[in-house]
Amino acid sequence: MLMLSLAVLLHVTPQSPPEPTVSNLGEWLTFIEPVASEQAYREIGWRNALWPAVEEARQLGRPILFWTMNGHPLGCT
Amino acid sequence: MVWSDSEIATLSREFVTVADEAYTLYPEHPEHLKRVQGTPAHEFFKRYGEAMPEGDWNHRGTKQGLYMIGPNGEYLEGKFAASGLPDDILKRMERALERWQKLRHQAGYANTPVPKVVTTLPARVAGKDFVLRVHSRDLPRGEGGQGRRFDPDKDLNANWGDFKKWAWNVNWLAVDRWRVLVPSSKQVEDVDAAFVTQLAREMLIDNVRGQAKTWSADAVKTAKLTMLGMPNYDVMKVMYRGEVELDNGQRSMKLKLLGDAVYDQAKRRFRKLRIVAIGLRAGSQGVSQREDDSQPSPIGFAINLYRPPESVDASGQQRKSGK
Repeated sequence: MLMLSLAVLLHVTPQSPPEPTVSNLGEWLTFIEPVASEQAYREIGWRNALWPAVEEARQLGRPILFWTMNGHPLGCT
Repeated sequence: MVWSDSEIATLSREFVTVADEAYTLYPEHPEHLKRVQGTPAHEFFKRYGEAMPEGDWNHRGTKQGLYMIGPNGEYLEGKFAASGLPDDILKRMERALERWQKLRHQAGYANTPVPKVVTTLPARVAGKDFVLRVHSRDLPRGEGGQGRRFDPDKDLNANWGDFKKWAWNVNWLAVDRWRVLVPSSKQVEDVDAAFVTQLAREMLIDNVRGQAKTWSADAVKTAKLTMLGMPNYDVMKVMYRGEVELDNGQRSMKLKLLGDAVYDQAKRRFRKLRIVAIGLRAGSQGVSQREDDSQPSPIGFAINLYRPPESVDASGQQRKSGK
């Protein structure tokens, strides 16, 4: 229903771009923000810096699973 | 796709899981590399990488990837630019844990259970007083096109390039001068222009599909935001309206902004603040992955004041006991 109502709003052309209004503000925010199924990566439980994780791994005697990107994976710019 | 896989999520609990920025750990540019040489994190990662099988480390190139490492940099598994296919990653993790079982007995590692950690935000904004979280997403362009959501039932084993159909991204901005967002009267007022320009340059970037640079000062053609405060005893509701136009000759953005907030006048802090920015983007630059999508198309940003979960420390981490 959410998708449909926004799709109705979106007869988008460069001459008529979409615009937010007070009545659809919440709908836009809900559409843009990720839902839980899109954020499964957060369920893994990621530490946010490598070196403290190395120190923790040494203390625990455990291996490290290291996910690294250009642009921090937890906040990619 | 990878982290939605339940078997991968289960195996990840055998590891100390960590995410970090590749370029600050192992830059490709020689001048930038000099700055990190000798630092513990860089040397640790380098030692591990040089022990990898040939072809899996990408010497001199990007080090983006997924790596499974022993506590003292021992190679277990991993690959630069590791595939987004869950089956491949699962096999690598299983091999890593097989190697780990041999290593831990040889080296006498304790293999203590890994405490659960709550994923929060990058260290660069952790512990800051006022942090905005910005989500970006392409808006719908018709049946089957961009701007839909990832569907785990259909998309779990999709091809890598298909991510563009449901791509979204998250960015964070710690703001010092946030009090300029608090109205001083019951009339419509302009929010400080320099502040709005900073927000536009650093938050309203097309990173939906990939990394994108912030805007230069001369790319800002318009950056206006007004606010209207409606006080009611200790609480003031605020409405924000604005517009932003950015153009650097290679990419552009033209957006309308609308938002609201609740400001606690007694505690002198925002209880909530949310702004949406909607409009058209165009062009391509760097690694934003818009080379095949440079024509004007709708984009949306959702900006929210971020409140970390309770008991998250200043580094942005929260630890719980047990698995």
